[in-house]
Amino acid sequence: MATKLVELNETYLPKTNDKDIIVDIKIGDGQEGSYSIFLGSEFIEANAPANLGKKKHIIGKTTIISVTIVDQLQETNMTSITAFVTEGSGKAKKYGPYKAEAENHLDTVIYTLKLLHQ
Amino acid sequence: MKRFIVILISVCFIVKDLHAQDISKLTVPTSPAFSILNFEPSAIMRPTNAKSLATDVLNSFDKDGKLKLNLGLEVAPYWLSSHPNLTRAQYLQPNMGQTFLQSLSMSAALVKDSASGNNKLSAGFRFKLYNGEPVKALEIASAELKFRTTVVSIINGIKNVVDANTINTKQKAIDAIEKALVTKNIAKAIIDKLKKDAASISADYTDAMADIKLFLDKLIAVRVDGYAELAKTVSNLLYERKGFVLEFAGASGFNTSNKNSVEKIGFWGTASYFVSSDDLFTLTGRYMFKNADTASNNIDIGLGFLKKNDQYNISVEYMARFYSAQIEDINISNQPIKRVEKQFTYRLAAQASYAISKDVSVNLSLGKDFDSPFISRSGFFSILGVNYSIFSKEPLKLK
Repeated sequence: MATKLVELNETYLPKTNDKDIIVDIKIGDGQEGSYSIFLGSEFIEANAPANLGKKKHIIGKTTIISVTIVDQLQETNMTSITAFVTEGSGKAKKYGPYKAEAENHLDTVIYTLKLLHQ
Repeated sequence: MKRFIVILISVCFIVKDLHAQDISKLTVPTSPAFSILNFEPSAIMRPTNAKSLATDVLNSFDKDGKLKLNLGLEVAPYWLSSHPNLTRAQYLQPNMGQTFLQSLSMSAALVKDSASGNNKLSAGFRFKLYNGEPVKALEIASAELKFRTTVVSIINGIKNVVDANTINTKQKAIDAIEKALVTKNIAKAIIDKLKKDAASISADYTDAMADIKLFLDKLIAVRVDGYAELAKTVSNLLYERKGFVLEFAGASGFNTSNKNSVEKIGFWGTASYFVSSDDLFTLTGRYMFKNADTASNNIDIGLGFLKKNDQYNISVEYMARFYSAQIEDINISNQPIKRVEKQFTYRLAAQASYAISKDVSVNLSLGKDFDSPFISRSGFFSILGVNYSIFSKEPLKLK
């Protein structure tokens, strides 16, 4: 079983000062996987929406989203992820979908999405 | 005793009537286009994306622009592109429209009939409208795999936050991973295994920043290898369903050496109820038109029960057939005519297989096959056989 690494870099600038900033991930193509979210070197959450805190907590830091997907479908080797960042009840900012095809059935694809906050 | 052994061996190997051996004739063919030709092409292309489909289509033609022979193509149109909005939950429990899209597959084949020398072309489709429910074992295995992939995602996350100020040794990296895993209530056994894996490779790496990242890369590779079997199990369980499954297929075959004339048309429909993934009742409807030397139409309706097990298989099926055939004949004035024969016939069959050991199984088939307007025979069959695998590394599988 081979592993494919996908590195992605984006920027997110908070829009509000007093709203919690929530990051979540959607895994597509019928595949299943796990994800973990870090703010700087601090582990925040895994397999659930992560509350990064307010603007003052995140500015100048980088959110690291690590997603591991094992290709399990016989119909396709495609994998995809979409990241969503919301502040309060505002509209979510969408990153992606990012797509990568596993070389062979049952291979693992690891996405690393870095969101720079500045 | 010697005589008994000789008789037993004779019964096992002298098979009088081979055309009734299929376990079940009640299922929809996997590749209708190949089934209607009664021929499996020597090369089958199964593209999984648009790019490979284009490549495969281009490779289907020879240098003179003619289609190559003995070539098959199977394609699932929906899966040629990515579907980022298709979650696992939607994939496992789709509505009727989504079930159709996910299951639709098309097949085509071009082969040379070695007997007549004619080229035969076929095209077919297959789809489901209901696909039952996932089995409970999938939920359990998927949850286990999710724990394992969570560990990998956290190792990869820590790898990306290694820096000179906070995580600057291998031990600190492992401590940070453990802390995150404990936060997510990952089982102690999984954490202990991770620490053991880390200890086994640690000596090969220093505490330099680049080496810590290489150490974590290696740890990811070890963990990925560690869940390989589990991932395979989950992948297999995805296709085991229980409950109601409704499936249709169709295909037609043409003789391209004879003005592309239609030689065969077939439609299949099955409504099955999987009590479990290994026990099913099925109701089948089938229409088959053949236009060779004589033209014939068959309409089949059948019921079946199949139970699979690692140790044994049992299947019972009944299929009623209404057929009509146009047969070349001569009348009392010695003029050539086409005699139309319409009849009802049926097939009733029971089969059992039992695995004596991992390499040997015995099979018994009993029943009566369809009567044919072209061949006179009793139609009754009883076949006792032995399957054995002497040189195969894989044990004999009944399921």
